[in-house]
Amino acid sequence: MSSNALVKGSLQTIILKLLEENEKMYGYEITQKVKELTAGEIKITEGALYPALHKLEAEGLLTTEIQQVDNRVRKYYSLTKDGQKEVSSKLAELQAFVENMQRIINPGLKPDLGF
Amino acid sequence: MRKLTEQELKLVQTAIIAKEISVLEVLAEIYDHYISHLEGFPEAEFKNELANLESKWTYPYCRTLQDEFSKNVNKSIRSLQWKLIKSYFTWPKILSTAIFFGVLFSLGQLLTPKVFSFSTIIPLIIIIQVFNFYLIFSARKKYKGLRTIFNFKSTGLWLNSAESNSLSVAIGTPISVFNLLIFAPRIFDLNLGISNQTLFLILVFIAFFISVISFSAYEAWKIKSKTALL
Repeated sequence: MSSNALVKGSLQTIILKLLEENEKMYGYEITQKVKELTAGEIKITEGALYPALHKLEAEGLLTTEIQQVDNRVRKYYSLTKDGQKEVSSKLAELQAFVENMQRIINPGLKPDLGF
Repeated sequence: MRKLTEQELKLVQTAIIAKEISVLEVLAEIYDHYISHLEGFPEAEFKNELANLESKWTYPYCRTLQDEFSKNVNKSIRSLQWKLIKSYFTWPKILSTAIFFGVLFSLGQLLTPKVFSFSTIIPLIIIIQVFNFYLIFSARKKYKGLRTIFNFKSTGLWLNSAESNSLSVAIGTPISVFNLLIFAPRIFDLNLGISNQTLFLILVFIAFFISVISFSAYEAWKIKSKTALL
């Protein structure tokens, strides 16, 4: 049901918000959490997730931690201080966008969306 | 959730080896993603799910992911190192930087160019090289488990850490500059006719430059090693 383009455009916000609530997560866990929260309506593809995670890490918004799991290495992502600040600004940006979309779609409606 | 059998693990490893990934950070992430996904399905669905993963993690996608990751790592290490260098020239660190430069300058005036080079620049270069070896060794040690599975024999590729590589380049830069400044005039048989006073100034600046670059690279490593696989 969900449009891939819409999800892709909000991917950074989704990642930052999830990490704000979960402290640290690994890539696969993020895909599963989004699936669970949206009852499978939104599926984050690996093709978009990992490049976004690497970009956010390079920009200093995420930091990583390595843990040994069985005979493999697992990379956990968490928010840096800059990342924590960015969450609120990204959410405000998204909220403003959704409100504007509501105004366009339903001109008579007064949107009141709380994040 | 279940544990994959040895045979299933072998199939996963073979599928990942075919992607020819040589950056350990990316390899580790893909391997963990595959196993985390497959562990959530019963044995009967293993082959279908592996095929499903393979349709998403294609060869071109993995190559692009690897290239982009290396680029991002280089960018973040360069920007971190530059941030650190700038901090040496702002209050309060500028005080220590000035004292350090003062010491080098005084040494340069007290010693002959040859003695100055042997007592400051050469030891600095030796320390940098030792640190560089340590960096390579420690990255290899941390990836030991992964390197056992995806070794040269099975992949035909030398696995390396993008983060460790990027720092090695950052640390190696001052040595290259030093070599260029010292050996290039000899190679081209240039007689620059430099006076002792100018030579002393050049050597002091080289020593200062090497120290600033190496120390910032060391600090960058200290910050990165808390999080990365270094």
